[in-house]
Amino acid sequence: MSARRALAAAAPVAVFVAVGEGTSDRVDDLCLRAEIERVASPRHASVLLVAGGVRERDVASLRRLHDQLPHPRATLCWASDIPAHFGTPRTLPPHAAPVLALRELYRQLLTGEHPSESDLLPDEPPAPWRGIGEYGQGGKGMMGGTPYGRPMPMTDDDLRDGLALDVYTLRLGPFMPTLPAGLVLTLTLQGDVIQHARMESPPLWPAPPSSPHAAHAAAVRQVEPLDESSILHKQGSSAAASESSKLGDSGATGSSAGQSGQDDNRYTPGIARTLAHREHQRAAQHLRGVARMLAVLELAPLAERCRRMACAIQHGDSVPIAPLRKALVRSGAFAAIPAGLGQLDPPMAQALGGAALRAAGDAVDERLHDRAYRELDFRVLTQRDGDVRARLHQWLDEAEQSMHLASRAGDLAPAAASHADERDVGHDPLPADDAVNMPAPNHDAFATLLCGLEWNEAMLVINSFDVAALRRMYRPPKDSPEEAGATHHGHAM
Amino acid sequence: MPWLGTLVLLGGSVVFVAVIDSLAFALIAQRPPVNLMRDALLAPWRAVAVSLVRQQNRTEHPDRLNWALAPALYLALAGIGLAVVPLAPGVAVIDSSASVVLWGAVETLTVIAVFLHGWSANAPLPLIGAYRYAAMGLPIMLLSMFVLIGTALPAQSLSVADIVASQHDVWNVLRQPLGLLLFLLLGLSLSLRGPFDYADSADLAGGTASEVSGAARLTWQLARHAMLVAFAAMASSAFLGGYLGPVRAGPWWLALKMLVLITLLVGAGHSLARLPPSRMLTVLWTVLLPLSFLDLALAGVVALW
Repeated sequence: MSARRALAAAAPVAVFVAVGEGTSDRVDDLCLRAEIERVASPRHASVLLVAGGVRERDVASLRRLHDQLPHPRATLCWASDIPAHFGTPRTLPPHAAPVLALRELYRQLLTGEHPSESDLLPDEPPAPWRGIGEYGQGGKGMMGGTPYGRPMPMTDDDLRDGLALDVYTLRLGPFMPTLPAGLVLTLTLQGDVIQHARMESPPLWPAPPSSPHAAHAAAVRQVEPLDESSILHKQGSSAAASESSKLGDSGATGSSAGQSGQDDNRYTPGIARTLAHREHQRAAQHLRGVARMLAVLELAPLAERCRRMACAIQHGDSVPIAPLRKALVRSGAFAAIPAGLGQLDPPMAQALGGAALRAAGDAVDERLHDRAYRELDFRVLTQRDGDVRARLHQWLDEAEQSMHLASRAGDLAPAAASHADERDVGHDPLPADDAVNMPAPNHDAFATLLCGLEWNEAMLVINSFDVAALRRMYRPPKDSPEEAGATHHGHAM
Repeated sequence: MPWLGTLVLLGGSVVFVAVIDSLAFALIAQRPPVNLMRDALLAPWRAVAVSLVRQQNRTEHPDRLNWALAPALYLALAGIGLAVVPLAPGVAVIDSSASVVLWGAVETLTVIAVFLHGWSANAPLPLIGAYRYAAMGLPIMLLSMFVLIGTALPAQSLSVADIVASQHDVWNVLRQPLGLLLFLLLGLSLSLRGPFDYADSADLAGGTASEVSGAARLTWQLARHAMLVAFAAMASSAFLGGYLGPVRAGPWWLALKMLVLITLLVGAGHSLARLPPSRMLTVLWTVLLPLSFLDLALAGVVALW
């Protein structure tokens, strides 16, 4: 190997990640490793990492993405079946750590042991020529036809000043790093101002289902009960699963007769651990959301710090949030977000639920109905304005509160018998579980929020919502009764 | 041989930019303090090696000529910008009586180079980056010119050498502290950094550079670093006395001041949030430009005193 290639082989592996179902959080953690450099464009990558199951409708985009990597290039499918017509890339099972595999693949790529992968698609325009004139001219306003499947720019009234300017329509996603994984948009732009917006595909869940309850929730996500049986559930005990189902039923019907027998053992160390664990998960998810927003604000180092904190919290570490908040204030992150940007009106906020609803001022949280949380003096935190800045504050506030609750979970005392008439099944929705049984917005909330915004503002608005809220905004085409979360070619991690 | 000294200064400073960039990112991101310095020192060389190994890609129907010329133009402009800065009394590659005007041309043509880089790829994200940068260009350049004219007033000359000489007793940063603060914003804009990076930003997946790979990307990165170096040299000369120092004037003082400014700008680039473009334009036209008028007016009053 030449000195140049040896030096290149010692560099972190430049990886472009095509994030599939349920792996976004794991990918975030993976890319914190010094051996990996996650790049924002496939043009800057040496290895394409396909992480998690890819929806069938996204496979064509994945194949186009593959061909955009410069040579020498290679693909590693991690926790993912090889997509159709994708050659013979390396694969890695879900439980394997991909760092070593990526490094080895990269080394082999540079030494020539692993040949650079050929194009998957022919080097030609994606659609045939359908222009009217030789250069697509000759139609209305000298713009004719759809050359190579791309409509020619046509003039349209500018939303701001009424000037007739060219509009341009482009499709983004599902693997664009600036957007939540899986989100596909069609935007019509004038300059960088959005005239029309449509969500073509909803984002994917960032983490695999945490329990059979949640696994079932691909169609209708149910909140996961916070009790001992759910822990046993995770350990694969069929008996515990059966018991959990019974408890779930009793909670759903509000039967107090079946609950009294549970009370004496309600707050066992197992429950405290579960509560702490779930609050850690909640804090980590919120911090990952904050990290996405910081990246749009051009604060990449602080975004990495956020993801590092989220990773540590998910591993059970106690990480203070206050220093991060101070760093954000010093960076001007809050001040940089225009007041009123992405503001939700009350019906829209109620339709989206979760942290977005609380950021709009509604003190709605399922944990209020949980006795364990009440014993920890849980109170619902809210903001007032319901805009992007409020949602950023909300995430930070809730992350801080979750860390506090997790630290106090061990203080839970055995439940008193007087609590027998209260709901037995704890409700502790993580952001991904929020707003699951609420009606979808009765209008295209996504288009309403984005139209008239500049590109950067639109990216801020999109990233100020968690995946659950974005999925609530998805309106499938009327002629397609598809199920939003269905994936193919992947493991159910 | 002033050109040799300028080349050495440029080369050394570009490496310093790459190292300090990597180190500042790691420190602000609070990466584990393991091999941080070693990785930062190796980062630029590894980046060069990776870029040279990687294929230079193409897009569908790019403007090939301008796509190739844009990084070269950007790099050349950085070189010209550095060439107008005197390394020592009477030692400058371009020792012109109107070198401030030449620097102004460098600033303006940088907008053209960045725009061409985004335009030529024939892809949407680079194009948006190009338009955004062009929109910022005019107010930023105006601001810079007002501030620079303020530094020329005490020297009664548009020569950078005369501006440095005029600071023999007191540096311009003491006469015009506001001017330096405003001028530093130009440095962030010219080198596409942090709060003024509207061209190659993360929300556009790299913007004008999102479709570039291999040697072309390396040249573009090199040009960005070189432009930061050129800016630091100009700022040091215009506000911090350039090669002047407490003892024995010489290029070492200039280099030291440049390293301080580079560190400051790299740190600011990584730790300050960027405003949405329309908001930044409002701030530029309604706040920062009037402040630059004020700076110029105050400089005039002091010069007349």
